[in-house]
Amino acid sequence: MKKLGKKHIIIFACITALILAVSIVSFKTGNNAVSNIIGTVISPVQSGTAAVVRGTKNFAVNIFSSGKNARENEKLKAEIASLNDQLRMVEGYKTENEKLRSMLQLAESRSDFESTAANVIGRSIDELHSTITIDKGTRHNIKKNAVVYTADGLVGRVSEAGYNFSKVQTIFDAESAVSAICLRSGDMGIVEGSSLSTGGICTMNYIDKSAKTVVGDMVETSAAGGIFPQGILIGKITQIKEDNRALTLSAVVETSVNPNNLDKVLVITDVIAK
Amino acid sequence: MKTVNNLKKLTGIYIVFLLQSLIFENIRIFSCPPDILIAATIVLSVSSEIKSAALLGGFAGLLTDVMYGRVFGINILMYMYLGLLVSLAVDKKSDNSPLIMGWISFVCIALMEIVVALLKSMFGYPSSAGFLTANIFVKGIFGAIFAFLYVLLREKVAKRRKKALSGEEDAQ
Repeated sequence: MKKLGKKHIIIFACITALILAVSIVSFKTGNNAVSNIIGTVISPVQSGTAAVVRGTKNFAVNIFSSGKNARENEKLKAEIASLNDQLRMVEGYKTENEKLRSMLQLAESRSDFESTAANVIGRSIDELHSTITIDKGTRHNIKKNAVVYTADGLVGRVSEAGYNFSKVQTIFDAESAVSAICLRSGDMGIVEGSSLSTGGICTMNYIDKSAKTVVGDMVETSAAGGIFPQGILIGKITQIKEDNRALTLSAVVETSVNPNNLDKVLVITDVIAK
Repeated sequence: MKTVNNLKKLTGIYIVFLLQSLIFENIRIFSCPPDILIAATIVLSVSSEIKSAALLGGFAGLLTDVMYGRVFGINILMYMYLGLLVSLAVDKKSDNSPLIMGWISFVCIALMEIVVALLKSMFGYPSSAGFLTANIFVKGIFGAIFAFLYVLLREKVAKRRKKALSGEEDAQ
């Protein structure tokens, strides 16, 4: 086993102290200047790589999905194979086009806020934290706490906005809390990400015991918390139970957004006062 | 030469980071994503001097902190000390076979996961023994396979290069 010299020990102690000092300052002030500067430099590379990965993924998905048809076509006419390749590429563009079109329609349908589209360029999901990184930041008018959603429903909020990238705390994060309302019954609650909720499951807590919510009810955001605007779909209730102290009800919500399949999102940049 | 080697290794870490955040984070085995960034840090740290190993670890942590970190610096410190400890504990001159490197990688990842779980419970985050076990096994086994394959490939490349060089010498 190697030994660490005195000089090395002093150097590492100094580096550790310096990093801890920066950590404490950024934690207390919420100002991550160092992180922002480095993130601004590396996010374009990550954005480019994400685009290549996305393109390859779309191409592979199209190949697998049309594999059966391609085999039949090969048996019938070999020369159609080359045309199928072209078709697959067109279908890839079509799928992406449809996705973008639905997002555009969604952005236009909400007249109470302005949104901008962003690509997901990275994700880090463990049992407690669920963060995605998008390729737009303060340069594109995205601010901290800006709401992130897709055509399917709510994704989360911007926890940190860099110059050309932003970190998004998704609703599956253990520290996330979203004020929510049941569409049918009007019962209110707080949708929280929970430990081990990485598979698209959240918990709606603090529902009044006399609530008329039933399994199958749809849940959407209520404007109560001040961050999330009203009317963005969160998901569907799949289970209702009493909480530990039997004072309120809590429900398991199957979210309409799957954190593992996100590649394009919309970010609210401005709320228009009515 | 040392600087060039370090730059090569830093580039390697960056490529692994991109692969991890764009591809491997999407894979789920028992709800856990495999982690090749830790494995790469361990493998590259073994073949580095103490300072280079700490630099590599620190760089891996920096990337993680910048793109996903909650509190800037925590991952830098964790990865830096991981690199440092691996470099201190494993003699780079000794013959580290692919199997041994796989084991080293597994043990290091398991220890790091336990430290992370302890830190989380210290700060009041809910933790689950089942998830910790799954994390250790998924990340540990995946890391061990990564380290095994990396060292195996490196050995084969080195052997081929040696053969080519000796062939050239014979020809001369």
